[in-house]
Amino acid sequence: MIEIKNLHARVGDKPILNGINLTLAPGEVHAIMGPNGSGKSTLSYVLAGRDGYEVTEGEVLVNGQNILEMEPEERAAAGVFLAFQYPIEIPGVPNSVFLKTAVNSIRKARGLDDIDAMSFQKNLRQKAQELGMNADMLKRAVNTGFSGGEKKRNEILQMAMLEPVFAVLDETDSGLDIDALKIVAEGVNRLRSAERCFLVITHYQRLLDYIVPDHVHVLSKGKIIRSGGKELAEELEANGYVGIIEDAA
Amino acid sequence: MSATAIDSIRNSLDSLRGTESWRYTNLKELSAQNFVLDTPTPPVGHLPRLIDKSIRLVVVNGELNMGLSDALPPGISLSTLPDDEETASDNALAILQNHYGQPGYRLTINARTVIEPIIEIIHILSSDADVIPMIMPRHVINVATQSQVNIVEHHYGKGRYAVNQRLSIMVAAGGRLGHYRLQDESRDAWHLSLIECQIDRDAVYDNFTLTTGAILSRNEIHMDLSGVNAEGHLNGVYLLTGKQHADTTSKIDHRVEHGRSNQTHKGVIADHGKGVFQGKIHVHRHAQKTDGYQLSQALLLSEHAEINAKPELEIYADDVKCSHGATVGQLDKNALFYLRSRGIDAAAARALLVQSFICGALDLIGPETVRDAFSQRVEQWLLSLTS
Repeated sequence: MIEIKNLHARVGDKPILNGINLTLAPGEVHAIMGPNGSGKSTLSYVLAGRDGYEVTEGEVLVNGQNILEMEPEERAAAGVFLAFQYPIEIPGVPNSVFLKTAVNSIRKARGLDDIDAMSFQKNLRQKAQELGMNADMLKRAVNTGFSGGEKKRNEILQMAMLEPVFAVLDETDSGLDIDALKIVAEGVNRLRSAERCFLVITHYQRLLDYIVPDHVHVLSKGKIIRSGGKELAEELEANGYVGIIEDAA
Repeated sequence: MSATAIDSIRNSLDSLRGTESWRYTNLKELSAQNFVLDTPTPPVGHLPRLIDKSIRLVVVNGELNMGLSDALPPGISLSTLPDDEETASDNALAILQNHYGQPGYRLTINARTVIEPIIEIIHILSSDADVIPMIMPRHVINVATQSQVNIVEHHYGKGRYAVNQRLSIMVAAGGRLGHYRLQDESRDAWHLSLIECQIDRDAVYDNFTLTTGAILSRNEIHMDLSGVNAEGHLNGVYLLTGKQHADTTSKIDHRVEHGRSNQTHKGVIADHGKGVFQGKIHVHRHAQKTDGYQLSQALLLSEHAEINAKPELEIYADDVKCSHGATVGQLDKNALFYLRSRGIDAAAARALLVQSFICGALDLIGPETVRDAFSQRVEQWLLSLTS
């Protein structure tokens, strides 16, 4: 269970999030849609614990535990995962080394021993294959020289290996052609389970044809102004954000 | 050794202060030490081996020790330099070495010989007395025509001491010398190294220096590309913590046409560490079609860390390709957040990013066994940084 309660955050003096309330029951997929500047990316960064965002009010409970006071790595250990809109390139660090370091760091934080190297490799290869990633992409440096689609697939691969309880996808569809979008969406759908919730942040309805949400929320000026079922996304696609934002005003 | 000699050395060290070549590196602390020139040979414990199946030559306090060294394969000869062999130089440290130093080894690779195993030269220094031994050896490496060899130098030691080493290298026509140096001296030591190398026609000199040791070090290389189509690489990585000071000073002379030189130096500077990079490329009038490349990059891990970079190009030929660049940076905050968001703690994330920064330089080490050994030393250093 994920509970976002009255979340306010600002960057410098500028308030960006103005009281977000959201409850995700186990197994649910929620979509957050909104125009540019509505606070979508800020919400994802505040959840993951990036520097430069100051939470002024509210709390975020992951299975009852408030994560807002935690360091980013502690949040990861608590089961939070953010798929980045712009994944970072890290030259010289092989993808598989990065993933193994991440998996073992989280295991350590949870009081577990390092993972057995053989079973890690086997699991990694299988999950990569499911995402259409070849063995070469595991040996290459993290995201370095990857195409836009490869970077997004690599985000989903990390998510598959880290098995979060709360996955936030920040504009995972941006820059993807339809084939890459389908592969990424299938990757996400494979991970849907009764113990895991997803918060899918997107500007466009297109992604939601492939990752079908249980609930859709419209974000404007740092507040959720309307919530509904998956048909709300279709309505937005047909009529745009303007009507809904005006209704709410 | 008389007090006059010590005074004279002190004067020489002090006279460097303020000169252009020593603008960023100051030897006044060394000059003020209570040092001596004649030193007892320390007992040698377990000899380390960096490279599997290497042939080890052991130099203790600047003196070649045949008894501790491995047998040499055919095609190599090794001897102690004659006592009275002096070579002219206008370099202050070389002059000091000439006057007060001791003869070291002369290693010669015979013509048309390819030496398969890696020659590992172990330089051991140590002192446990109140006085500080100052060791000033001169060594010579000659690679004769069309010969090839890879040499690893491993400098390490214990306690407080100073070394002022001069190494003369000749790579004759069509020869190839891979020269990979690990300067891992005691953290209380001074390490001054001058390499003068001459690269003849169609010959290649490939140098890489990994600097982790010494409180103050100077890695000075003068490379003379004196034959047509000669090629030289002077690369390196330096890793500094505490109050360590590391100076890399290079001067490359392109004297004739079709010469190629490359320099990539990457430094990671933590705490109050201070790095210096002075690189000069001099392209003489007849050195057409010269290709010279120089890059100095430093990563500063603390607000007290410091780097001084001074690239210099002096070009008198009109058909050349020369470029240089110097960058200074800090760890990328976005990358740090990315790693931490995957559960990797801040210290380990920093270590991964430091590794990422220097890997491009380590990749320049040709022989895989050497690259692996040096990479391991880097990993050790990274661990000490995080713990």
